[in-house]
Amino acid sequence: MKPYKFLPDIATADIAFEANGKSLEELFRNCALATFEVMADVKRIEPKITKKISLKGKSEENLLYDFLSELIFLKDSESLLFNKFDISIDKDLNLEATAYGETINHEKHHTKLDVKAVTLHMFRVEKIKTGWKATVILDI
Amino acid sequence: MRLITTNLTYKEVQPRLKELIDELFRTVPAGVGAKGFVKVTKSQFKEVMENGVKWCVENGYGWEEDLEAIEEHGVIKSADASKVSEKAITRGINQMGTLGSGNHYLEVQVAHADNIIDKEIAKKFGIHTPEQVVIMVHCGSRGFGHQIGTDYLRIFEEAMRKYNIHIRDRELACAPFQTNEGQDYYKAMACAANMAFSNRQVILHRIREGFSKIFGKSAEEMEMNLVYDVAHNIAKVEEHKVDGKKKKVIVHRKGSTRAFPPGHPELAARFQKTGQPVIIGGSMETGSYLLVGTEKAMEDTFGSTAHGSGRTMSRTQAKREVRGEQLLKDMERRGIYVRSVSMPGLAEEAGKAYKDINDVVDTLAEAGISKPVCQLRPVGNVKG
Repeated sequence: MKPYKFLPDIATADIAFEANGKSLEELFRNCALATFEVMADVKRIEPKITKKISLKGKSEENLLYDFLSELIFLKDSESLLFNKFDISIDKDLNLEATAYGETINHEKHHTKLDVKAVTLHMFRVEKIKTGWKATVILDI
Repeated sequence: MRLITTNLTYKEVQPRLKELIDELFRTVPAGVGAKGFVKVTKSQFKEVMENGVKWCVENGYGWEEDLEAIEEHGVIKSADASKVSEKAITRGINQMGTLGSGNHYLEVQVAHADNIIDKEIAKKFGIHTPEQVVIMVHCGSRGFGHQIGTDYLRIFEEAMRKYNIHIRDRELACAPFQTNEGQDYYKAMACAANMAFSNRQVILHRIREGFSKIFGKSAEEMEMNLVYDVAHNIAKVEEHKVDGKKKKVIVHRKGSTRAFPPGHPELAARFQKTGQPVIIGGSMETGSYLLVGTEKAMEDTFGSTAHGSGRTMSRTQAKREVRGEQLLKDMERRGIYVRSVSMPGLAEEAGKAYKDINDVVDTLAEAGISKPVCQLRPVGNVKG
């Protein structure tokens, strides 16, 4: 199963993707990677700076929305791009994450589109046979 | 969206066009995570949120007369900075004077003589000379407004439970206007709108500086006047006729633009006879339009019209069909010089990814909700 794939026919002006994961942690990591893939060539990001993220979710969906929104916030407020994520989520949906990345450099990172927000349009996190699946549309 | 005139002709600008675009590309930062040139403290940023373009003009970023050529004169008075989260402030404070990415752009355009549809109104809006050069800017409140959106989406989810509101699409989260949640959002949204007006205003300042540097004349000498500035995503309390009676309503213009007719009390004196200028952005290959608001828009569409040509092809599809580097060369051959932070980003904005702007404008004219004044052809473009 692919960690994530972009869905060209869902949103004309925005970017939609579908992500999978065997665990909720893997799903969150793949969603975060897809989000930064929209903004840059993630392979070119080096893990020079780390950021800790702690969140409490009311549901898996709610937690994923907040997690991605937090990463987008850090992208603007601290000019950072990330491509590596250590995530743990307990059964009460407490998330502890470390994101690894570096300061944005247009030439180095081959930056693409700015992601402005995660939308709730068609936003979905679901439990499937092989683990978890999410559908996300990013506002461009 | 805003449009600025010059009294320069294409013949005068063409020899130095590349230099000009390179200069604007350098001085108006674009792309992912770009930081603006206007450095403000937190308390100054709060003034921007509440006083909008008035703050800009008072601080040297523009002319007094710019104010009346902006929707709401560049300040939505209901703005209250205390309704904006620290997070939104932290995200937005460095973004004043940035273009963003996606479909945002700064474009140098030409009003060809045979593209003028309404000569008289064009003249009143400052387009009077054949092959006159104008500048169009499309950008908004950047991450700041989006953070406010993200914050309140959360608050509204709770509010919908509280007020027992059910909706089909969670992105359309809402709250009754006369509740704390509704009022708080309205005041925060006005801060985002004021930041957007201000962002475009400080960019205008940079454009005036850039033209002055390249052409060795002052912006005043080059008549670099603001034709108009309109919002694209906004909700406003306005008076409209509903079932024959005048009522106060909230008009949401999402992906649409205000198009007020001649004589509307909200318009400045100089637009009382003409109606409000309406700017409709097309693709970077095909050009854009200047139109004017009509009485029919008041009757049929709450004084609103379209805001752009609209995409017809998804970003992913456009990237499959178009290569940024090739597009750049093709456009240069056709006399359009483009500087872009991102080649894939550029490919996604190719003309073929958009509807034909002429069809869109014809539809608006036929519906009578705005009247075409002139078509504007791109010759230079700065993209995120």
